[in-house]
Amino acid sequence: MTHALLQTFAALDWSILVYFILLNSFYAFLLLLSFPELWTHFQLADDVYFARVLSTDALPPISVLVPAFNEEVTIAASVLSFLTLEYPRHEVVLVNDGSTDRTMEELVRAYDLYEIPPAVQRTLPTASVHAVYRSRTHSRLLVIDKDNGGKADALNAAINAARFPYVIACDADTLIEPDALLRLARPFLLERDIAAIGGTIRVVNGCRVEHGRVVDARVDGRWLPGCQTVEYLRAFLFGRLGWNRLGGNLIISGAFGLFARKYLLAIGGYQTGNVTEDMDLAVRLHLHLREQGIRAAMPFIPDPVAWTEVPSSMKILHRQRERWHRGLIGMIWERRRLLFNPRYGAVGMVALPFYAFGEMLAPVVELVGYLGLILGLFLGAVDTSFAVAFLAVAMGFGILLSVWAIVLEEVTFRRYDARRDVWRLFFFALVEGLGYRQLTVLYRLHAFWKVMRGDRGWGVMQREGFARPSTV
Amino acid sequence: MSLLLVLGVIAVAQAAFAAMLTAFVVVRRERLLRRLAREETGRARLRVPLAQWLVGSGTVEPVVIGMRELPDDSALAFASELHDTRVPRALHAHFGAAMRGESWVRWSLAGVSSRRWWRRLDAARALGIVGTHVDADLLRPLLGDRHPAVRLAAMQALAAVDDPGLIRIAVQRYPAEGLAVRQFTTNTLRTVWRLAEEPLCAALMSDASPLDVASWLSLAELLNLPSLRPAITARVTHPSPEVRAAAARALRRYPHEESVDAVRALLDDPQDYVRAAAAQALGALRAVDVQPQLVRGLSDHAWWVRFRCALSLALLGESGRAALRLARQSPDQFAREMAAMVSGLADGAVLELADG
Repeated sequence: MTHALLQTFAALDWSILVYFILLNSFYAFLLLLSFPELWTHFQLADDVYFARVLSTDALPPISVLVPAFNEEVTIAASVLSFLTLEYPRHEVVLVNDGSTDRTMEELVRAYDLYEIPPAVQRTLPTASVHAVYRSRTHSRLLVIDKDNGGKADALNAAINAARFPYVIACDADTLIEPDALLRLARPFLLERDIAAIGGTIRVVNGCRVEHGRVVDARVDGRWLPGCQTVEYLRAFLFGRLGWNRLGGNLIISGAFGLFARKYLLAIGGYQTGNVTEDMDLAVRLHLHLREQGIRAAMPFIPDPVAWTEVPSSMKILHRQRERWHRGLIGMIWERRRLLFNPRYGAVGMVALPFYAFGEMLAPVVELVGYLGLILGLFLGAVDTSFAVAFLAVAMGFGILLSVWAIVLEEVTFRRYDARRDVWRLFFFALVEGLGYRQLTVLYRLHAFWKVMRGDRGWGVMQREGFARPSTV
Repeated sequence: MSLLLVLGVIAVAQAAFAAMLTAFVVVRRERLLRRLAREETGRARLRVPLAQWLVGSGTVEPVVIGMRELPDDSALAFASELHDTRVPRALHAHFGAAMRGESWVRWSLAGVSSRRWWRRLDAARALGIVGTHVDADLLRPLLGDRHPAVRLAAMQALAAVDDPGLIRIAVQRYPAEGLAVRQFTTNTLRTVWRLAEEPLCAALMSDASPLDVASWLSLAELLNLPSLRPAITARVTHPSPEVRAAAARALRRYPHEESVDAVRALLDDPQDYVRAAAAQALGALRAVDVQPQLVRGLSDHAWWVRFRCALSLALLGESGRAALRLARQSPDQFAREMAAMVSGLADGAVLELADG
């Protein structure tokens, strides 16, 4: 019995060790791949030549799509911030998705809207559209008032009405930097055929915001937002850049991503009833391009920035992470036929297997590891020194990846001016593995439970708002 | 070596590496801040001599001397910015000649055949500032560089080098370039239009592929050189709809009776995007005589044709607006809806949409 137990724990130890080595080697590989990408973008990002080129009419016109639901307090300012983005030619298509507050009245008042006949193409099916409005004061604004159908449905209505060949899906409560559209359009300058482009999302908590713009980027001193700041840096600065080189970028953020309208129409737009519609859309786009033999790129570029508020309470973080993971599980399950399918190239052979085994199953493996460790120590089947050394290496690697992300941020875009903020980043990189990581493991495990129960809801994402005084 | 020892070594190595990276960030930040402060001081020192030179009360020599205090890459960035945004065109040659022997120029031009694209980019930029006709051979390979950023800077340097052979190459390469490089080529060709006229006219009349001809037509539209109008007008009867549409779009910048007559015929073209381009051009040409055909276009089966016809009617002044008001009572639903949508637009909005 004792011998069998020891053998079981030894096998468990080895399995977890191998999983750990494989996963972290892949992260290290992504990190290496991100270097040349980051270098190229860094060379072009703040170049006066390109800044000038990008502000000419050399770029294609873009429709900014903004779904809005119950945003009466902020809608007028949000729309103004979208209308005043620095870009030679863009329009804003706002969809009031059946708001039950005074969002529509506020829009009519602020922008002097008048109803026009619905002379727009309806290629994608959506919930019933009540009316279409134009503004007498801002010719580039189009407002669609429709029945509530969810974010994906609202975006589909906006895609139908968009005039221009490229569209950007934005959340009404996301703060886009004034020059972010220009930067996002840089791949056009490099003459690539583009299906979609992803930009960076950064954490606005703790930053000073004036008139819908981040005027002073800071790192929130509180534990939860602080840890998420480091997490976002890691995810965007090397995770997605590394995937660029592999050609398997599966996430174009729903809060800030550019798409070629023709491809969105070809895949039937956003899928309604999906809790992570952005990942689903990116995967379907990949499939479409692959199946049709279209060689259009879906790059991520690091310097166009949109700021979003992250949860500062455990309750909201729980909802968000559980929902994200539920979406991931749903997507992997729905697309399981693609796993290890060479027909789908990097997506089938690398990206989806990574998301399935390295992301989706990671909390399960981590939980088994923690439980096995505790049980093994309790039963005397695991050597204490080995356990301590393994935990130190596992946590050390996590810290190292975060520190690398901070280094990449420092040598390239350096958005945080104050020294104190850099120290805070290091501090959160150090403490992220103690508590925060375990917390997110629990939240993600909850997603498995919800999937088994068939729960498909979004949950409510409460925000503090940008007007909160900075914590620094 | 036991597994435990391996893990221990890895843990210690990780800790050392993380500490090293942290130290790197801290040291680098301090050095960067010091360098930025030094550059700022250097730039601040340049302000007075620069202002004096720009208003004609000083010479360029103090500026040249002041720039020596900047690192080579900063000096190039400073000179590029200065050259493009503040130095009057009349002083460009003088500025370039004064900078020619400087170390940052030698450093930049040394990158002309580098394997690194950003060094070739530096060379192309430097040629844009200090280049003259003797640099044609240096610039030629950069015009065909494999990196679009380098080609873009090289196209801008064309104006400084001012060589007829290179201008011909730029015109011939135009259809193969991406949007941004085209934009810069266009800007450059505007400044050396006398050298661009002949090769562009020849290109327009050539038997090249329809897509190439359409690209040259769009270049002709942007350059707006009266001598090109006959060549553009001749292309409205081209068998390719791409070329016909491009010709219609180009002619909107060439107000002339012959332009109106040529474009009017395209309102009955079988291709909807050609009809849309023709409708747009007729609005831009303020072709009041064509109003009945534009009204008829409000019932076209293609949305874009109806939209362009409505906008062009709105551009035709009071008679066009009256026609739109009348169309709001039309028995045709398409015409009624489009007329209602465009009639509600303010004049500024009509101009903006019509030009888009």
